[in-house]
Amino acid sequence: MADTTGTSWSDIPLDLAGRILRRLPAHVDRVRFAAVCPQWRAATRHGPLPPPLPLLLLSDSRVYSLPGSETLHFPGCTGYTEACSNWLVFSSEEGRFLRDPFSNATLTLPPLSRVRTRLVGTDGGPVWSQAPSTAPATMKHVDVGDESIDVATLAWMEMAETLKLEVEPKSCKLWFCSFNLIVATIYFTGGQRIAVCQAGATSWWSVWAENLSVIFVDMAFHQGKLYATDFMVTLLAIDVSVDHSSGDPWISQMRHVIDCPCLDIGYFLRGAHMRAYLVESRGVLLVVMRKMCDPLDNLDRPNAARHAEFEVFEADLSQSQWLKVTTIGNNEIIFLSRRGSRSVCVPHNALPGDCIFFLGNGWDRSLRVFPNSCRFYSMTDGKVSNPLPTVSWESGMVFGTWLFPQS
Amino acid sequence: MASEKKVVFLRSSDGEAFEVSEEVISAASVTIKGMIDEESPSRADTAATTTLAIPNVTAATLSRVLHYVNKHFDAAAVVGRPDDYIFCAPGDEHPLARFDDDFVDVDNDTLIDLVHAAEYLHIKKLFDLTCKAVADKLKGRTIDQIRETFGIVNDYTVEEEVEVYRENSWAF
Repeated sequence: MADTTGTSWSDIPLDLAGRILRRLPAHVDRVRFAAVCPQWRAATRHGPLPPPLPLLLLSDSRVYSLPGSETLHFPGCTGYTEACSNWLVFSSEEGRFLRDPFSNATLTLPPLSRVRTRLVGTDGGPVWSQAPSTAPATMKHVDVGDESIDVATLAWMEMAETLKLEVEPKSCKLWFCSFNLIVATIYFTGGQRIAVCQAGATSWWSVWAENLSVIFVDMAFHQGKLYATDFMVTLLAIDVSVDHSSGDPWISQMRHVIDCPCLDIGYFLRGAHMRAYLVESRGVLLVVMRKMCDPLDNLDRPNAARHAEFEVFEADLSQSQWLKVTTIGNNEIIFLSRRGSRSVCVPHNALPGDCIFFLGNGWDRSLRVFPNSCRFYSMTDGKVSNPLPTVSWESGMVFGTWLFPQS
Repeated sequence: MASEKKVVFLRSSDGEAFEVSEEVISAASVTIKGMIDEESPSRADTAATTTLAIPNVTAATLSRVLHYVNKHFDAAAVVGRPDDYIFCAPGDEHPLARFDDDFVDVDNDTLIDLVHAAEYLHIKKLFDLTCKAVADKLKGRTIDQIRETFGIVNDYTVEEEVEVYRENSWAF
């Protein structure tokens, strides 16, 4: 290369193309880059790139690739009833199935009528374990930690296993989906139970303990382990074991890890609502507390900022405590989702960092009293802004979800 | 003192020589600093100026690169003294932001030459600036617009193009 004049753009070296791609945080820009010519397509597959920003999918199948506001359309997205990480949930006559809108891969869920429940004894407290005795015969021995299960309890469990549950499950909520592990909570008339299965399984595996009712508010994976919060923001660690012969996951233990963080109780007394989101960010587990005032308050009002307050706590697992944090990192953005919130590192000022993106109050959607929306909260100055001011939300008739491309 | 400043000459691929302060170019370009360090034992006792061959960069590009280098790395230059940064409050425009914007506001052939020159000479700030300029030309553009902007002929086979479309029809 004695002279660079006349170098064709299609022949730019792979590492150089990688440098340019790093400057393109919008997923749509990267996809179009790859579609320009075979050389550029090869460049997008050459080396690891920082994750792109998520797409905002609206329930009417409109898609926005942040930070842009160009309206795009995903085929085959209409009619999804809910979303779980990147999987959209659809209902058909055959049952519920999931589709990944990027790859079009589908997963079929076991029917809600097929929940195999292990009944376990408990001392009545929130700390309990699943005994290995109820596992399939092929199950290897599983360490149940410090929880000791006496012989009487084991006997009770063996007896209880033969009982047929009479209540029919009503509905389920999906928390995590991959081909190896799907985590859901299933609502029975008697309450909510956690259940797990692998893709393609014909039934769920659930656990049930007498006198125990955990109402799960959010779940997240942190360092390969499943954690959950209940409505009092207690952190629970859920150990999922895998049957080595069948590959079926099952819950071997659930432990109380951290109690509720110090919250302004007066806030609740004034009638405020609060929602807790669990998210792994930069190697730590965070709980993002979103305080919401009167649901009739409109986020578009000029003084809306004070109505959307956030507090963030970091899980200190060694000391079993929540530590309040005032920043999530200059280049970090947390995308809150009712299930599957994520933290994304956004270099090069593509979007303001140290921010929390959140979607309008979907939980008031049934009331249809005020618009759904997408906003972001700055940890730095506490202000709330609209990242997509031109996007119409049709007066709350549509709801949004984040899609995180694998890249 | 200005008169005592050492200078080096850089000879472009088409034979034109450019004078530049050794201190400034050493601060800017890792590649040239390496060349100077290699040369230095042989010229320690001589007053002769060094001429370095830059075979990968044309005169037109090299002159642009040195313009950038003198603005950004010459502490004595009026604009962009390192001290200026102290007076920049957060959110203020970088004192050289406008210079940088104008610098990369060039046609695509010039831009790609600058990218390659910055990469070859290992001038990180310039490389980042030019990569950003290329990225800015891609943002929010359709595939056809990108091909037109950069003069790229679509040489996908029909089968490949169908596959590319099928994978990401939402982005087209």
